[in-house]
Amino acid sequence: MKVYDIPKDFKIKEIVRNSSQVVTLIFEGTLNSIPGQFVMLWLPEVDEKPISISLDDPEKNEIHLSIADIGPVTHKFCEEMKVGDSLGMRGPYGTSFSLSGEAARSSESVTTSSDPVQQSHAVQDSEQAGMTLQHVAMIGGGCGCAPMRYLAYEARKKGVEVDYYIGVRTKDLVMFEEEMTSIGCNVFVSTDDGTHGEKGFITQQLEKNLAAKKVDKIYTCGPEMMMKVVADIAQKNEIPAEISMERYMKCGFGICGQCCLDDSGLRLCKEGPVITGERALQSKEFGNYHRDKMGIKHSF
Amino acid sequence: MNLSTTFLGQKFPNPIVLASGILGVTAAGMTNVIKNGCGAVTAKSLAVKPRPGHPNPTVISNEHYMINAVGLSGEGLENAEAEFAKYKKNCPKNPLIASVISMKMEGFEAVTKRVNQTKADLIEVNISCPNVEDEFGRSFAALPETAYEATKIVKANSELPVIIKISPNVTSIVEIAKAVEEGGADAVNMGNTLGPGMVIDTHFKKPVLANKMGGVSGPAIKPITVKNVWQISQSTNLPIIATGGILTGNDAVEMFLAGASLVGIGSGVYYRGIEIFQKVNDEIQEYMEKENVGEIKDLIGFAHQ
Repeated sequence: MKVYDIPKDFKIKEIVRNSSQVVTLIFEGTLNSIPGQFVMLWLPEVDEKPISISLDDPEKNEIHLSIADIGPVTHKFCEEMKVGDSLGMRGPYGTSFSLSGEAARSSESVTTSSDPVQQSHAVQDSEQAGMTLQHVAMIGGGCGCAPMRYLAYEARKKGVEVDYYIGVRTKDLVMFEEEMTSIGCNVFVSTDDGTHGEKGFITQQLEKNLAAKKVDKIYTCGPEMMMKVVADIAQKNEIPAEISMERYMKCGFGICGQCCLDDSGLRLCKEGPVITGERALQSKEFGNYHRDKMGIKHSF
Repeated sequence: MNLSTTFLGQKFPNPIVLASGILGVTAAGMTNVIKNGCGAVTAKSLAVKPRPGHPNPTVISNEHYMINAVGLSGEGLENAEAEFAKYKKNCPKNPLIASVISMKMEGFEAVTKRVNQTKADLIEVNISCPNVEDEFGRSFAALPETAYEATKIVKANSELPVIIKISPNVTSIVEIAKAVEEGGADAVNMGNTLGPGMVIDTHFKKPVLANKMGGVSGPAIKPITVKNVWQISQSTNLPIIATGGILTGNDAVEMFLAGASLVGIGSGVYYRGIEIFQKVNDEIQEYMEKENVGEIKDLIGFAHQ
C-alpha cells in the first residue's frame, strides 16, 4: 500500500450534505485503505486534521471523507470547499477494523511479549482466529458513523448481516439512515431528545437487542463515553469488540509521541486508532481523560 | 561483548539515547521506548510553562529526510514533573535526560532550577532549536558568545551534569564547541536538526509546514553529523552524544569511531519502526563480535588514531 507522508493533492468531485452538521467531501482517487484507517487532511496555510475515511472505492475511483463542522478548520472543510477544489492528504494511517474474526490489525508491536497487555491481545487473537462472522453490530455516535459506514459496505459485500446503530442528539444530526438501509443493514436510531428513532442513548438499544440475540462482533466509533459503555456491554456479553479511539495527533506516523496511551504507551496513530475493546478497557485513559496538543491532561 | 557504558557518571545499559522531540511527551511513551531496547531517554524540550506550538502540518517525511516545525509545544516542566517521576519508577536503570529551552537568555536560570526539582538524571540544554530565533533568525547556538553565555548560566544553576545540544548550522562547529566547553559544559549533543529547510507543494504552490520552514533530520544528514563529531572530538575534551541521521548499528559505530560516546535516535523511529532501538543494539553487538571489540569505549574516537 502506498502511504503519503508528504501531502498529496486530491480534487473534490462532489459534496454531499449528510446532516445539519456533517458534510461528505468526495474526492477523485483512491488510497487503497481499509475501514478504520484515517488521513491527515490539509488545508494549505490553515491546518491539518485527522479524518477517518468514510468510503474508499477503487472501482469508482472515489475517496469519501465525512466531516463534522465542529471547529474553525472543520468549518472551512464543510462550508468553504467547492467542487473542483483540492485538499492535501497524508495517509492512509493506522490500524483497521477486522471483518475476519481477528482482533484489530496492527503494523507494529507496542511492547515486548512479556507485557501482560500484549499477551492478552495475543490470546484473544488465537481464540478468534478462523472464526467466520455472520452477524455484527456497528455503533456510531455522531460523526463516528463515518468509519462505520465504510465498514458496513465491506461487511455487506461479504454477506455479513449488519446491525447499524446511529446515536445522535437530535433529528437534524441523523446521517446515513436511508443509505445503510438501502445496502441491507438493520438500522437503529436513537436521539437524546426523542425527535427521531428511540429516545435515549443508542447503547440502550444495543443492550436490548443483544438480550434478544447476540452478535459475533461489535464495532464502535464516536464519543469516548459512549464507546466506554459499548466496550463494557461487549465485555459483559463476552462479545469481541473493536473500538476506534481518538487522541490529539501531529505526525500521524508514530514519532511525535502526542497520542500515546497510558500506561501501555500504545501510539494511537500507529497501533490505533482501532484497538480491541479489551485493550481499551485496560487503558486507564479510556473514558477518563485525554491530553491536549501541549500534553496537558483533561478529564472527559 | 558489552554494550553497557558510563556517561557523565551515569550507567547506561546500552549506548542508545532517545533523541528529544520523539515519543518523549509522556512517561508511558518513554517507557515503551525502553521496553523496545533503548538505553536512556531524553524528554521533549520543555520550558517552565506550557507552550502550544505550531498548527499542523508539523512533521512530514520521505525516504531521504524528515522536516519538522512542531514549535516546541509542551506541557511545561511544572506539569511534566509527574511524568518524569513515573518514568523513573518504571525504568530506574535507564537515565532520564530533561531537555530544556528558553526563548530569552535570562530564562535559562529559572528553567534549570526547575529541573533540579525533578527526577531527571541529566539536563540537556536545547540552545539550538531552529524554531526559536532572534530577530536575525539565529538560535543561541549560532554564535560562540551566546552559546558560552547560555552554558555558563545553566552550569551555575544546575545540580545535574550539563549537556549542551548544539546546532550543525554554523560556519565553525569547533568555535562553538570550544565556547561551550569554556562555559563549563560537561558534554555536548551534536546535534539538532539541519537547516531550517522548506518543502513547497507544487500543486497548491505553498509551503507544506504551517511554520513554512522546519528542521531537517533523517538519513540525509548523517555525513554532516559524522564530520561535526569528528571535529569536536579533535578540538575539545567534551564527551559527545551524536544525533542526526543514525538508522543502523553501522551508523552508530561510525559515530563512535568519530568520537561519540553515545548515539541519539529520533527520526529513525519513522524509518525502521519502534523496533529500531533493539535492532541497532543487535547490529552494534554483531559488529563488536565480528571486529572483536570488547566494549563501546574501545571504539570511541578510534578513527583519529
